[in-house]
Amino acid sequence: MNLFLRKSLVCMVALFSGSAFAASFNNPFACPHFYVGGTLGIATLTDKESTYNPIRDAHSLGASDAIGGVLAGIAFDTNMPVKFGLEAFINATDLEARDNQNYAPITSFKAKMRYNTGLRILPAYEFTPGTEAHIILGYSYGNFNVSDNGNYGIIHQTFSSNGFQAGLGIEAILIKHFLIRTDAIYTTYSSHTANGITTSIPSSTQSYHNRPSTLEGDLTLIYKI
Amino acid sequence: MKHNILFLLTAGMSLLGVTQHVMAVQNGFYLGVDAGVTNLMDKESHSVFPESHQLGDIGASGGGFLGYDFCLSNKTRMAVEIFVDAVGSQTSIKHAGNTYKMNQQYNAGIRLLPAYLFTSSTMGHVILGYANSRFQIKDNGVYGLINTNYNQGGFQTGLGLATEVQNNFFVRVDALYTMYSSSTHQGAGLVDAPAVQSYTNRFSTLAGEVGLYYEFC
Repeated sequence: MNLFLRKSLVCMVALFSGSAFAASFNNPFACPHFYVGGTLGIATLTDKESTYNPIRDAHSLGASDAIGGVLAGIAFDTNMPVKFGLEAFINATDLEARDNQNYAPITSFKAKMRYNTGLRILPAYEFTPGTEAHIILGYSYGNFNVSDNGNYGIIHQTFSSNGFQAGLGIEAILIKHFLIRTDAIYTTYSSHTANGITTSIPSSTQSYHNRPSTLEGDLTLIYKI
Repeated sequence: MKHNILFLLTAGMSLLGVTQHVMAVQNGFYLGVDAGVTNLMDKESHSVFPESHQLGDIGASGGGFLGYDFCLSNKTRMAVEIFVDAVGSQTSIKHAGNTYKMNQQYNAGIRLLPAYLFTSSTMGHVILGYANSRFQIKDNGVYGLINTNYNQGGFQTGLGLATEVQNNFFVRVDALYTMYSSSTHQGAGLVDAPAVQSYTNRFSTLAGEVGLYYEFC
């Protein structure tokens, strides 16, 4: 996404979040409700990976897999259509993207994501009783692993990266206390550079630069107290 | 420009605040627009000095859809719709100043949306469909030389929720996964290599879309 689109998105989210937050806390009928939920969905991992020794190789790697986890939060319901939520989440996944060299010596570079956890705010608007749409704005802490057994060098390293999360969703009441929610969430993580070694003799340093991001489509079942 | 966006946002929020109407249990055509993000994934491989890569990147997508929605029972509905979306997703491999690019230009198709009404104005739906996409692969010297466009068919599945926001106007959020069949195309080999390089690509996409549609009743 270009810079203008990012700035516009941040402006819109900030405006809506601010008004939702203010409405939630200024309203005398604001009523906090705790909720817990289970999430299941599909996620894609994109990793802009590059190495520099002996020459620059760059790949936009990608993979898709299931993702699932739990969340817990507090919703500030009001007697106005604008509402506000705050929640913590943790998800596990087995996303793995590969570069394979299929001739001797057969080697492989792998980039994996294992889990993400974080906090997010959900300014929401109630369209009809029991149904609301929300914006997602949050912080995500992702755990990644890169390993290479000779494709561009040798490395095996696990690292964590901080990310910014944005998304959209709709939530509807299923039955009393139970809600269903669908979300589309994009998370971009900060880049990480790790040093391995080359396979040449004598070996030298190989730098692996990775910039991961994810796109998730999630379905969540929520129990609201 | 920022002011225009803020004005449109404020106006949109105001419009959404008007009185709601429940979803009528009736049949009708609907017409809508959608926008979202699409992650294009490609399992790429080639024949000379064979390598395989799992590639991917994210881009914007947007388009329109036209459908017919009908009632099955008090709680269930079925819709059939055609759609077309422009897509701006591109993934790539760069090596020594050369680039091998794979991009998706558009997709179109037809899909079924069996739906369940959670409330009188909100329904969840499953998406099952066929998509036909236009792809381009272009290599200017990473593994060989090729520049070709082609269409590929795929199976689409997904989940979504839709709710009525104003008289017969609905907003909908969908998560869509589409898997296309693989294809192989011949390009030219590099100097000091066999004359033909075969490129095999198996594309798939994950899209998150927000749609706004009007149902004619």
